[in-house]
Amino acid sequence: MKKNRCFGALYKFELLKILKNKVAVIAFLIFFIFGFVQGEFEVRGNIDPDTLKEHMTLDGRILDDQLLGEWVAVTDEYGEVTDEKNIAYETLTEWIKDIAGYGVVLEDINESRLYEERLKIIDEAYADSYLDEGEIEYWKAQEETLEKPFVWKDSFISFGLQNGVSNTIIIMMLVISVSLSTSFSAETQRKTDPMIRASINGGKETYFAKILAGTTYSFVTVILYLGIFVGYVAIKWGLSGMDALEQVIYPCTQMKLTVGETTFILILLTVLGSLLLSTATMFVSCLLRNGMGTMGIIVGGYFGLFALGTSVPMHMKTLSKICCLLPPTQISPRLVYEFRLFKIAGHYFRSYQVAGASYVIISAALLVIGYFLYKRYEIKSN
Amino acid sequence: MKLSVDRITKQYKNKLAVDRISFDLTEGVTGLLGANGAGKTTLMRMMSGILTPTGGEISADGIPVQAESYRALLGYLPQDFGYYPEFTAKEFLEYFAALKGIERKRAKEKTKELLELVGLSDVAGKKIKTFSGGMKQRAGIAQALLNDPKILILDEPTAGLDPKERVRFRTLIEELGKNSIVLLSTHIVSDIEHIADRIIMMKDGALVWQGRQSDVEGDLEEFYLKRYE
Repeated sequence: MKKNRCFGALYKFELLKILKNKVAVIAFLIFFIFGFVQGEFEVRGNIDPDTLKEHMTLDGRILDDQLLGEWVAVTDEYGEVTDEKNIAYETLTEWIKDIAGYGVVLEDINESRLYEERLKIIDEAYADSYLDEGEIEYWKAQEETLEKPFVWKDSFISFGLQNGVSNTIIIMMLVISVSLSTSFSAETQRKTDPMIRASINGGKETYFAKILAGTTYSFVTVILYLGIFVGYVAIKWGLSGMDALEQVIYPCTQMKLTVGETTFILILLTVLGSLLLSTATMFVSCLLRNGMGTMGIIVGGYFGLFALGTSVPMHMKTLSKICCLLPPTQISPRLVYEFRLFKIAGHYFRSYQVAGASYVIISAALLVIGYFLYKRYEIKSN
Repeated sequence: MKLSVDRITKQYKNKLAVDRISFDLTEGVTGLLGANGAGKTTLMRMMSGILTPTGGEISADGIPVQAESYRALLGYLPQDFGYYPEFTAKEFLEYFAALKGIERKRAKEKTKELLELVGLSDVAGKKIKTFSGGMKQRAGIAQALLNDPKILILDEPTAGLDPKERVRFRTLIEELGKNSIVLLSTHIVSDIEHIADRIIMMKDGALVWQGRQSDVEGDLEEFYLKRYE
């Protein structure tokens, strides 16, 4: 007789288990509200919202001697804007200092010196990153594709947007660890697993129903959050500056990406990173059969990997590159400053490309290994 | 149908929980008697396919216990089972109906029928966390009956039931035993005295006696206590 898998019904009930978990619901609601809060404050910080429009007065200007001359005229010798009326030059000040340096005299800055300084910083970055010849050649070829002088677009909004998007992953880590840590462990802790495992669909069907429910929850949560945050920013502040080159935020990157493209990359990495976090959480829940232990490992592991990613020295090239792929370190707007490449099948790939693919591969591997763990798990005593 | 248990053994590191037990069961009610720690639960878990024996075999009409088709025949109520506090009784049964491969329409019908049978139809929409111990036990019994099992394994099913519920339960089991193999474990002799056709007694993992109730000399409780002297 053909077995009726009832997968749809099992999936529905697994989702119900997550959604009926009060802690998960509270975490989700806090996250939901935080989307609006971040939308408000991540962009404007402490400044008056009315002054944001004034920041955009210079949008579309070429970053050449003419603009730099104007800038010198409205700033002191160290580049600080001297009059509130010239607020539009504030973000430009930060941009110039990112290249020319902080605490140095800038009154004689010009276009040629600025762009030369930029290339010097990039050369230092090559050395600090222990790049090989092939990698350096790659980036020099990328540099050739950039149109210079750059066109200025104020990055107040876009900087806040990218920061807000990249902060999402840490919040997702907390929500996922709270909501999904009991996905498998609850059956052991609640003593429902004997009845489940004695049922015809208590094996493979139940495992995949749980996985699908957990990843659905994670996916919907991250999309909803990003929708709220980006939507709020778009409606309240507008999305100006998305078509500018990422160099207006991070001047020393050589990637030919617009601000919009970089933001999209961050969004995609956040979604894939959330997928990885949800599969990792459910894997640990299946392995440990303990909700609190699972949460501890996911939260502690996340911060531990962040510490690892930022402390492994660059000269330990392979380990350092691998650590930088992980969500805590990778999902940051500063991914545009990652010069180290991965050579796969004779082609160079950037770290964000490899990171995204690796999150999917690792998630798939965890699902497969988790299935074998689930099948082999024996209910010894409850 | 014949349920065969052949030299079943379960060895843990420091303990032999079940020691080469063999018996065959056919339709009817079999009572599994033994003190706490006798190995009844371990035996029942192996017979439910959720615990792998160290040795021996269990099969039903040649279908091994590990097979999916065995689980299709099985209804199992563990000792001290769990539930989902936020699920209603109806949701609980419909969930387990899905686990037992019962399609949606039939699951709804069967849920309604079983809630009626165990006296929970008035509280079908209430959360299980609001139930008394006896009500939870009845929900558990209903769960075990969802797929009209040919093999029904009940581990201490009367725990938490009041005397009236106990009598009702015995009547239900007696009825089920006409067409199914029912194995019911307990350490309360009166639970099986009037309904079990066969008795199996365990002590320290071993089978100390098995036979028909009619073979028991005198009072079952006295006979049982003598076996443990």
